[in-house]
Amino acid sequence: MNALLAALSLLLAAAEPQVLNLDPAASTVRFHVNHALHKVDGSSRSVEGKALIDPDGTVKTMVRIPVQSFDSGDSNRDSHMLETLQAGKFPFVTFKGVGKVPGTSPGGRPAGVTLRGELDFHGVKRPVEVPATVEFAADGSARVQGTLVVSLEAHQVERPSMLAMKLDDDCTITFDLKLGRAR
Amino acid sequence: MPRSFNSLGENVTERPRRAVSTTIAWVALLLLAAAPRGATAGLLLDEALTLDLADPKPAAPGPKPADLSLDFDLLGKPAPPAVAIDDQSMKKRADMLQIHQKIGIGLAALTLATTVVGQLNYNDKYGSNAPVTGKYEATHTVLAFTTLGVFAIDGTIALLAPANPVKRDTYDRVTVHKVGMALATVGMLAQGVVGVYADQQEGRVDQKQIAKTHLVIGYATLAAMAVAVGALVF
Repeated sequence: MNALLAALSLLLAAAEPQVLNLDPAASTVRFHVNHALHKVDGSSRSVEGKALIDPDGTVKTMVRIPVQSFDSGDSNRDSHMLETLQAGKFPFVTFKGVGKVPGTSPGGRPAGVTLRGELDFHGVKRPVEVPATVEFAADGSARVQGTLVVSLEAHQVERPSMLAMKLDDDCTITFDLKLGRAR
Repeated sequence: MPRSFNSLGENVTERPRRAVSTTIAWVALLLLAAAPRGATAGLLLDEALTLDLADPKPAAPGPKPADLSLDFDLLGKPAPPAVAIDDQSMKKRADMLQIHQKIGIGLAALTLATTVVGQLNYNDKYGSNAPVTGKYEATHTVLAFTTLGVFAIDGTIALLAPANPVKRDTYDRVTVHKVGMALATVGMLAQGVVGVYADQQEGRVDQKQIAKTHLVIGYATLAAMAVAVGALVF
C-alpha cells in the first residue's frame, strides 16, 4: 500500500511543473556599451527571477532587475544612466520568456534553449529571442548563461553623448544565473 | 365519389393512393441509403454541428499543446526600489552637469591660454636682457580674471546641481575629478593672491622670485585641471 502511495506521489510530482527560484547572490547580469572614448561595463547582482518547467520541458521564466542596481564603477555615470532611463518612472527591466528545455536530468552537457519572449526596458516592451545554455546539477539547481543585444533606440532611450559623440546603439547584456529548486 | 369493388370485394378506389404512399416510402429509403455515412444534418443544424456517425468512439486525448503565452507573472508585485528616484530632479541634475561640462571645456582652454600668456609675460619681464615690452601683461591680466570668473561660475553650477541619489562610497573617476578640481581651486586662489602681490612688488629685488612662484602655481593649477578633466573624458 505504501509503495503504491509512493509511486502515486512520484507520478503526481512528475506531472507538476518544477519551480526554480533565482539565487541573487550567485547570479549576475552585466551590460556593455560603447562610446568612441569609453567602453563601459556594468553589472547588477540584485536580480530577481523564477522559472517554471513543465513535465514536457516547456519553460516559463521571468527575470526582473532594478535599474538603480546597475553599477558601472562610476557613480556619476550611473546617475546619468538613471536619468536617461527615467528610473523613477520605469524602475525595472523585466524579461518574460518561454522555451523548451531538452531535459532536466543532471550531469548532462549544457543544453541550448531559445527563450522567446518580451523585454520591458525603459517602459517599452519589445519581442526578443534569447539564446541560452542551461545546465542542471544533481541537486536540481540550474545554471543559465547567455547573451543578447538590445537596441537602445528601439526602446526609445535617448542615447547620451559626450563631447558631441553619442553612445553606440547596441547594449550587450550577458547573464549568468543560478536557479535552485523552490522549497 | 362512388366506391368500386372487384369480384373479391376489395375496394379498388384505394389502390392508387396506396401505390403513391409506397413509392414515397421507397424513395425515402433509397435517399437515406445513398446518403454519406457521416451525414450532415444540414437542413436542421448549423454546419458546425456535424454528426459523425461513422466513429462513435471518443477521440483519444493527444499531447496537450505547449502554452507559449506570455500572459503570466511569476514574480508578483515588485518591492519598491531601495532609493526613490525623482526623474525631474535627475533631469535638472543632468542638464546642469551638461552646462558644467561645456563651460568646463571652455575653462580648460582659458586656463591653458592664461598659463601660456603668463609664461610669455614672465619671459618678457625676467627672461632675457632685452628691454621689457610689457606686451603680454594686459592680455594675461584679462585672461587671468576671466578664467577666475568662469572657474567660479562653473564650480557653482556643479555644486548647486541636485545630488546624486545613488552615490556609492567608492573611489571612481568623479572622485579624481573632484580632488583635481579642489586642488585647482586652491591653485587658482593662490595664483590670484601671489599674482597681485607680485604686481605690487614692482622694482623690488624679490619680485622675480614671487613671479616665479606665481608661474609655478599656474602650472600646478593647469596640471590639476588637466587631471580632473582627463579623468572624465578618457
